[in-house]
Amino acid sequence: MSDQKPKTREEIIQDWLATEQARKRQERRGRRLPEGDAGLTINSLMDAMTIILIFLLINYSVDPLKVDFPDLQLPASTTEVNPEQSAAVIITEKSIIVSDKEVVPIKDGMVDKVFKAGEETALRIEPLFEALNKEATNQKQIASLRGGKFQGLITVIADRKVPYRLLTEVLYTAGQAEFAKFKFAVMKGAQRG
Amino acid sequence: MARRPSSKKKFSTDIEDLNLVPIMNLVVCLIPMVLFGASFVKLGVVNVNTPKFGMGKSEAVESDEKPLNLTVALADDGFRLSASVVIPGITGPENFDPTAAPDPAAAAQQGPTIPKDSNGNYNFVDLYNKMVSIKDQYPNENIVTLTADAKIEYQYIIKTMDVLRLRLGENRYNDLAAFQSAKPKMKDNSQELLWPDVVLSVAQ
Repeated sequence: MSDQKPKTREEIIQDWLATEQARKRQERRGRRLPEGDAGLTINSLMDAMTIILIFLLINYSVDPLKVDFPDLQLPASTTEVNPEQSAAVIITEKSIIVSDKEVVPIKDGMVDKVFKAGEETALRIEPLFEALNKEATNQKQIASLRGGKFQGLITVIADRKVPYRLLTEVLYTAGQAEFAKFKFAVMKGAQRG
Repeated sequence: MARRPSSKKKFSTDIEDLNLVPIMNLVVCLIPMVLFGASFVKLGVVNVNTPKFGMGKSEAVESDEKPLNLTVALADDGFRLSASVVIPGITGPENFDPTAAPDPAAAAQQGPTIPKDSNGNYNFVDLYNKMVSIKDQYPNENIVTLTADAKIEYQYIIKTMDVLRLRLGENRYNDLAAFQSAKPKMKDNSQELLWPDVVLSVAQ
């Protein structure tokens, strides 16, 4: 392009400014590097973390029931009812637990007859009855202090392999201790049938 | 005059990066905390009526109609259905004594009403079909007694209650896949119930 027009004054100034700026930038970069101030580019990491945090906080729920036992696998169900705060009796594969204390050991899905007034066919499990009775007395006291009525509500948290006989024994004992309303704790989101 | 591209650039390069390190510290601490506290198992409950124990102690139903006393019994080989009223094809043979209380011991000799399927699983589809047809004959009945053999596992009790609780879109299902994917039937903005009042019972 031989017939190129000579640069106008404006263009010359612009060109000069551009080169000057590039030089300055280069200079800054050059200055910064030795200081070790390059900084991690953690912006994307931050984005991910914030999203995870919000997601977790939304899903965060404090369940009224504690089901964190190594030998306790809840059965699955299609129910949509949420658990509520209540007395709870926990039947794991190895023991029956009331208010975080092991009350009766279980062997092969059965409670030994020494805990049942010595009879194999008896339904009432004596140590469990005592523990639940105490629990009922506590609940009645709380209810009367709060001016409410004792609901007699108990949540049964049982392992999925618990035999029906043991379940009825526990229900019967709870019934004897004046607990009349039962709720069975389950895992949500099962398939029907 | 619009700002020149060069001066725009100058302006943006002057902004210093935010110092995100303290926030990062916070977030890194919070995430494990929330993760450990989070429960990924969604808990639910199944409501059960006060169980009755022993035989012949069933509470009197205040109604002119004869109580149905429908009982579903789980055994090793399948479901046994019985009632204090003869329901053809459902409550066993024709000579079933309608005045007798449900007697799982006698029912045990007859063989199951709904046997397990060929894979050895409980046939919940047939149970549902039968329970719907009984419900249609006795629309005012809600109470069903559920009992099981001593060795039956708790999870099957829960599954049976799941099947009994809600009415699904269809009255009849022929295969398991359709039954499993079926949605509950809605009526007046709530799910239509089938046999919601389950009473657990044990034969001594």
